[in-house]
Amino acid sequence: MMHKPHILLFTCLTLAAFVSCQKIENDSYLRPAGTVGTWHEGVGVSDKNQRVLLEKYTGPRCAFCPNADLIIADASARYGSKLIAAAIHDSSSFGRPLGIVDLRTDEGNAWCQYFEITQHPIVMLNRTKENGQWLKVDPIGGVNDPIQTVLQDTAGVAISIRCVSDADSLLQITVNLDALTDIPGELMLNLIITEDSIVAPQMQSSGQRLDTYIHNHVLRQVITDIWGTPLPSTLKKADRLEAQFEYVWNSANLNIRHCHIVAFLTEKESHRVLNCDQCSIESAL
Amino acid sequence: MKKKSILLLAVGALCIISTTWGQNAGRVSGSVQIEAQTSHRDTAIGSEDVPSRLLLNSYADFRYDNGPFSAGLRFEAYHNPLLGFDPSYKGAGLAHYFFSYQNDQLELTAGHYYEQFGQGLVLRAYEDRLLGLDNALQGVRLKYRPVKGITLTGLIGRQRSAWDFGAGIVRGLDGEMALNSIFSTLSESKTRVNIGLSFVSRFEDDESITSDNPAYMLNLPLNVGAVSARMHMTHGHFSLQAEYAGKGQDPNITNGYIYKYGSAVLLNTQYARPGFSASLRAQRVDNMDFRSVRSRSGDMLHINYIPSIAQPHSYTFFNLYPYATQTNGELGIQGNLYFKLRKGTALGGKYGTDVHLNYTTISSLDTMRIGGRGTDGYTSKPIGSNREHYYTDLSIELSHKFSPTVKAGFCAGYIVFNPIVEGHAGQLHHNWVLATDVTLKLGSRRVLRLEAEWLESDSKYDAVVDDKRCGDWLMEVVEYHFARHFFVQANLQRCYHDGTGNYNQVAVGYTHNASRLQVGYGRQRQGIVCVGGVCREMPASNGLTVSFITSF
Repeated sequence: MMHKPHILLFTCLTLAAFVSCQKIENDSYLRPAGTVGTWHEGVGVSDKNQRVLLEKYTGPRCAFCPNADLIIADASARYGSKLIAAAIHDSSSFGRPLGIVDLRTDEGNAWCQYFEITQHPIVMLNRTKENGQWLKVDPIGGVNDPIQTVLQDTAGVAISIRCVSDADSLLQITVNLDALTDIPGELMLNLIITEDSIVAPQMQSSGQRLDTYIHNHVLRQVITDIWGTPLPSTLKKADRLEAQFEYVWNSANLNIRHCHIVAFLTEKESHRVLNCDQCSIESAL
Repeated sequence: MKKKSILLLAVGALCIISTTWGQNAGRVSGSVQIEAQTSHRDTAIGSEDVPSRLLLNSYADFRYDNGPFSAGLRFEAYHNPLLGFDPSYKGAGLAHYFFSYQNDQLELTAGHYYEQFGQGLVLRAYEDRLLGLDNALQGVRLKYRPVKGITLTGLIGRQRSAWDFGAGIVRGLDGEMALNSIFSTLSESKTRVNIGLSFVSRFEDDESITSDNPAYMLNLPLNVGAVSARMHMTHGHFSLQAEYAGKGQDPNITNGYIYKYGSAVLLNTQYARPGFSASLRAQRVDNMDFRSVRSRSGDMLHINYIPSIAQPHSYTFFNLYPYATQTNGELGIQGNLYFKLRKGTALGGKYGTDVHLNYTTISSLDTMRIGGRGTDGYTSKPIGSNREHYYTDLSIELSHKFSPTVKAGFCAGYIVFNPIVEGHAGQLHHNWVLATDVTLKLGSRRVLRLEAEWLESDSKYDAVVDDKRCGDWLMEVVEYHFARHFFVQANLQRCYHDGTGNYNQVAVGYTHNASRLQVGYGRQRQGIVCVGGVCREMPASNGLTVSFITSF
């Protein structure tokens, strides 16, 4: 029969294996959100304008999305740096790729579900609510008026971003915040990567498929957590904060020259975007 | 640099083994496989131009055995990966290497290895090149046989993910006991019983994942365990196979980051004697997607494997809507009946007729939602009645030999398919399928095979979903083998109602001993390829395919 050392060895291994699993009690599934990035006193922000983050939910099988793109392109020309766009390809049936290029992201899928996006194309502006419901705008009907409404607000906080990349695909991102008023409540800083000029198939409103369609502002990666990283404290008027983030990006499928880093500051509870900024990626070489 | 070091190490080890283990030079074996493809744009079927013109997957396996020592390596090159393969495979290098020592009691493997505990409910590391799946473990494995009838396996490693490894560390223990070998009083018993116990644990570092309430992060279990118990009993013509597996809290991207425990039960009974067999299988799977990286979806980094309960078919249209195992929840049952109509009867004819009846039905679990991420997710009833229908397959297959030179097969089936198992909602597809084939021996070296299939479906083509399988289908295949080594084949498929595309292919091939070369040209339909319930999407293509495989 089995020798004693063997029994001992197997017993020890079995015990070692069984302690290699964890049970988390029902009341401990969650823990307060942690901090990512290094925060310290900042140098302030020169451009104190209110900007608007336009998130367009789209997909290659959405035949009317190219019409929305034209309208958004017009709005971008009209509002310049005050309008920052992100095109989110999600997991709906509109988002399934037509070819081998898949522009969906897990975070885009999650946002689509969380914001209860059922129609495409649809646009959210600064993730605001109206009468308790997420405010969603059909871009085919025009976006200039809703954008103007957001831009009429006085900014409570100004934000600026700069990003430098080195040869090892390390992004060094610097974000500056400048509180222009007291902002109660906890805030989250969100960093995402968008890419322009992606050539991939897209259904057209004519029902035809265009294989050489150029997709712009496409959400490619989320640098922070899906709902952002928390600020170290609430903001009081004249507070100036600066944070440095380092991010090794997966550049395999991205063209760095066509990418932007978008920073937007949200209220932790409501997800409302207070202000935003974007920058292209500078090369440190 | 690292790859070069590994290669040098591998070659060095082989030399050392071969020179130190006596005068025996050992034995070298291996295989080479090359799969190449071109494809151009074809708007009728939705295929794309391939920017690199040529896509190529190639594999070269070498194994050296000398006494108790074995070593092997595999070189793989993807320039670029074939359509439908994960693009992260792009590149070339030493993908697999191992060193092994084995005697009567002990087997030690270092490097890459494949392993399966039981039916794989808690661990299966394997390779399937058709799916582009290779979740080999890289680490150390020890198999120990302390007495006859007992095999203990311990292992630790990280899983392969294309040219990288998953961040998680996988640890496993398995004990397999053949009771009739262990206990002398049972050695003569007609009842043979094997039992097994397995435990697998995954460690992965913490990460920041928010709950549905963004003010809170998930408190993630860094170590996730899974345990299984199994039994295989045979008594005369009867056999019973049962396995249960449980998985600890494993919030991951595929289950929506919930903390529910997972479970799986498999039952398989069979009665088989010459000319007759009956089997019944049942399977219940609940939240059992288990990977070595919690945030990964897709085909990579599965630690376990849930066998498919769906019946595999050899005819093409029975596989037009293959069933993908729903690792996060399904309940299924399958019955099979095989019998032979006797020779000399009206239906049996001169040689007898083989009959195979199959019925499979699979549904979702009956669940009630509790909450989203950061909660237990849902509760489920053991069986329940509020289940969504996923799949039904009812089929009869006949095989009959008319003469020494003529044999034929026939299969009729009714398949109900829910597209939700492929991740998109839609109406149930009801499909009727008829298929038949005739094989004619025209001489000692010539064989002609004819095949015809028909599928009628109520599925409607929708440009948004763009599922080009929808509609009614016809297919004819002509295959001619001649001069002992050669064959030519024409395969004509067309969707003649409410669908898109004709898919015609021709192929020629040469087979000699363990080598096979096949060259084909034509359209390949967009679809899903499944092996054992694990599936990958196959994009449409139109072009040349070349396949070469040899072993030595």
